[in-house]
Amino acid sequence: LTLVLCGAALVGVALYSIFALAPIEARMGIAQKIFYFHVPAGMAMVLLAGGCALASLVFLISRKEIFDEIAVAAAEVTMVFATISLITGPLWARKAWSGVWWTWDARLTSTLLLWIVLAGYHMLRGLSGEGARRFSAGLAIFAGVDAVLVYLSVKLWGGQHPIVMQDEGLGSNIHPGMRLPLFLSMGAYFFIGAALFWLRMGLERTRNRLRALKLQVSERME
Amino acid sequence: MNVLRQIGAVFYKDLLVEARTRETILSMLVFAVLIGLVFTFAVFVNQETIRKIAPGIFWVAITFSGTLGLSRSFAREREAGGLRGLLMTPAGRGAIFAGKMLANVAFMVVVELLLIPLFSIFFDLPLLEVAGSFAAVVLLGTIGFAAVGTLFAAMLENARLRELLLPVIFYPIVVPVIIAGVEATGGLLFLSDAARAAAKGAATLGSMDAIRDKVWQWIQILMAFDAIFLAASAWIFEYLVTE
Repeated sequence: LTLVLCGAALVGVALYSIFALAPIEARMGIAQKIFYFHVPAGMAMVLLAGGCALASLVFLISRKEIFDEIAVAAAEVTMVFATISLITGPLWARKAWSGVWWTWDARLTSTLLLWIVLAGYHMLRGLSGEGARRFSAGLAIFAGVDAVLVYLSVKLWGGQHPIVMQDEGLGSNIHPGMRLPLFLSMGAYFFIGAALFWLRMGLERTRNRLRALKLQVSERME
Repeated sequence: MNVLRQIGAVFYKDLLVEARTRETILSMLVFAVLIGLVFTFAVFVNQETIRKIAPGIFWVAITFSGTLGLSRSFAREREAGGLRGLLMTPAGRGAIFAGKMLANVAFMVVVELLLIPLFSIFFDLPLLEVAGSFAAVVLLGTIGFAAVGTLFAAMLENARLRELLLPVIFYPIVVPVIIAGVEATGGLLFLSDAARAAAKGAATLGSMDAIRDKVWQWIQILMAFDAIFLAASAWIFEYLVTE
């Protein structure tokens, strides 16, 4: 409950700053507000996908359940953020790129691929039964490669998608008045992401313990 | 040396089985040609447009027929408990992976060798002029494809719904290789066309160097993906295929 309250408070502050404090952009108008939802979601997505791949890597080597729990939780939350980016992105593009929802730009394509890989990850876990953990861990490592690709795509291939992560520091190409709301929004996103991740990991832990207990019970019955 | 012999043994085993049954390569080839036909009719506008789409159709045919080969390669092992037998031999996991992967590459290359002349006739593709670079592109694409594909096919070997899951998890990963393959092939065809036009006396296009650079860039991307996919797949294979 504390998590929920803190999250709600952060979201409230971020929303207030986005709609009340941030200046309205000249060309995009009110639609520019999408920016504060799209950018942090994308960042959280890349970070979490990286974390998921890392945890999967460690899981494959160490076979410790905890890393699998981390990976599942991260993969699921990544999927949430990837979905948000993919929904808010076209909404933004419609306005910014004169009427098109989607282009086959490097970053858009790689993000879509990441989303599909994650969908495959969850399907794999749900369907393949025994060994699913290791298999999905293997897949997650490739998802991590794709996440790196999402991050590097604009620098490598150019394309239409703008860069927020400048070499001179995060968001240095953004109007100063928009920076604070962006950072607040990022804070809210990362907090919610972490909270979701934490809860989801707890759920996976409980599930694993329940399974272990059931096994013990059925052994004792015999 | 020993590792090389182990790889060779696994590779030879797959080739021998294929030589005796001849089922995989034949079905792959027929399937690839059929895909070529289906796509041609699906997108046919006129001779000129279909030529422009030809690289895409070619890579789609390779992708789909390659997937067929991959799942066959491990279905065969499953039928006779072959993978368990392989794992019981003193050959290391890495050697098994490399052997299976090379066999899959070999099957795909055979199919491609037959498919490419057919396609160049169907779509009037000027491939002879750029044969060397084109062969390199196809081979690089095939290696990247087979590296990830062998890993995924092996890990889904015992999974439920494996025929369904293989494309679902495999294609999104391998799409970068396909993109690079299509782009490089398209660029090469453009260069070849331009060279032909120049030979006929038409003015050479100034953009040829730019296209050449672009093709080279895509080949580099292919090489980078091959390196990543090979290393990652070989490494993950050791951890995934246990019993």
